[in-house]
Amino acid sequence: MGKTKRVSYALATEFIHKEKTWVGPKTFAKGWVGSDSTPSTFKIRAPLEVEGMIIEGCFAEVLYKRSPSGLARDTFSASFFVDNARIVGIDDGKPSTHTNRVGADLDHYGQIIPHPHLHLPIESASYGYAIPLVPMSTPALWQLFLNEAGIRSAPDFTMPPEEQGSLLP
Amino acid sequence: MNCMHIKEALGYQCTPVKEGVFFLNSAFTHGYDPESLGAYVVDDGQGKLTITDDGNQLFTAQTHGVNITPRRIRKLDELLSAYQLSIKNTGEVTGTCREEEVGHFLSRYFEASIRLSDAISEMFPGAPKSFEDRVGDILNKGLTKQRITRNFTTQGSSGHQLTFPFAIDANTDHAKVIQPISTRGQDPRWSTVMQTLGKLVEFKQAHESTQAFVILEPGANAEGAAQAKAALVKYANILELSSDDLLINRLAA
Repeated sequence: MGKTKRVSYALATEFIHKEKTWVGPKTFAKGWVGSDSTPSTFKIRAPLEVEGMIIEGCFAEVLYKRSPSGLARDTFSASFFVDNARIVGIDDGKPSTHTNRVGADLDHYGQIIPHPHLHLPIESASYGYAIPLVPMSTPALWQLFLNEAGIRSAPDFTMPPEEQGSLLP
Repeated sequence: MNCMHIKEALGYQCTPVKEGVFFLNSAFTHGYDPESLGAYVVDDGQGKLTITDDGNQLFTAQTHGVNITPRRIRKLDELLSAYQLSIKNTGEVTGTCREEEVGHFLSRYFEASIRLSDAISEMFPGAPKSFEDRVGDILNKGLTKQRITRNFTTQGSSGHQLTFPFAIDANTDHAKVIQPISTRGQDPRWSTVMQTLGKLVEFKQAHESTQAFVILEPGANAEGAAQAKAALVKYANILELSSDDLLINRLAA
């Protein structure tokens, strides 16, 4: 059993600035994976080549959920992990909000941030500070995420299949 | 039922979704993520309400790399069952209540969601050893094995069984029981602080002369640590873990 883990700001920024290449599926269509436990959610986890090496715990992950209750919008999330901890992320689609309780010296401190928003590490906390984004399409959010995380050669975003069954060969 | 009623009677931020459906946003968060905890309320128009998170709690866990397996779902579902909630096969946390029960039911829903978040935070990948394991390592290194009892169970004043993660020299006249409390974000883990308080009250009523120790994980802000100490100090000696040797010196004495 573990517990929530944070990496240091120094390590987070070091990895954001390193050259990283997507070595996951060539297309989203080939990459989406479903799960029996959360059948509305599709996932792609892609290893990243960092300066010629694949490093354990350093990867990109995309999640897409269709509302299981039929009450809500689709939900999108893209994350860059270092040492298995989320350090850059974009979230969109949920009606819930994020409150910036870290970053007292920053513009969005104390603000309630709706979706979509961008998580970036800051000096006082490698996770927990979010910047509001203007609403945009999911492919545009994906490109923004890749730029912020510094990930190259990733495929364009395309939607997961309508039903998990359609993933089957 | 409408948003005005929910807001005035219950204090949650309420947004209508469509006829008979509302989204409530709470001031509570997942803990491991500053995202707020919310709930959809579906009114069937006949006095029955369905509460659902639309799968957002498990989704948020997944954004942190948590692998949601059937076994983990069963574990989380078991935790929720005490609150008349369950995880559907769609991944939604859900439950139903009568309209007149909605205030109480929503309080329980958010309490359960906070506990769910705590349980999920223990499922994070690649995390370091828990604080309890760390305290166990220190005890094992500093004391002979025979003196340490893991998960020491005794009876409280009400007859309930009480379990402490560690005891030293258990069942002797100089026994000590030990409860570590980890830090969550910048605060002591409040759910453990409150459980420990309840446990210590019962324990001290039944075993007045036995010493109890609470060991706080460092890293909490000063205000949070002071509040935890103030709550517990009547019933236990409180140590903030600063060095392994100091802890052993205090406990072995």
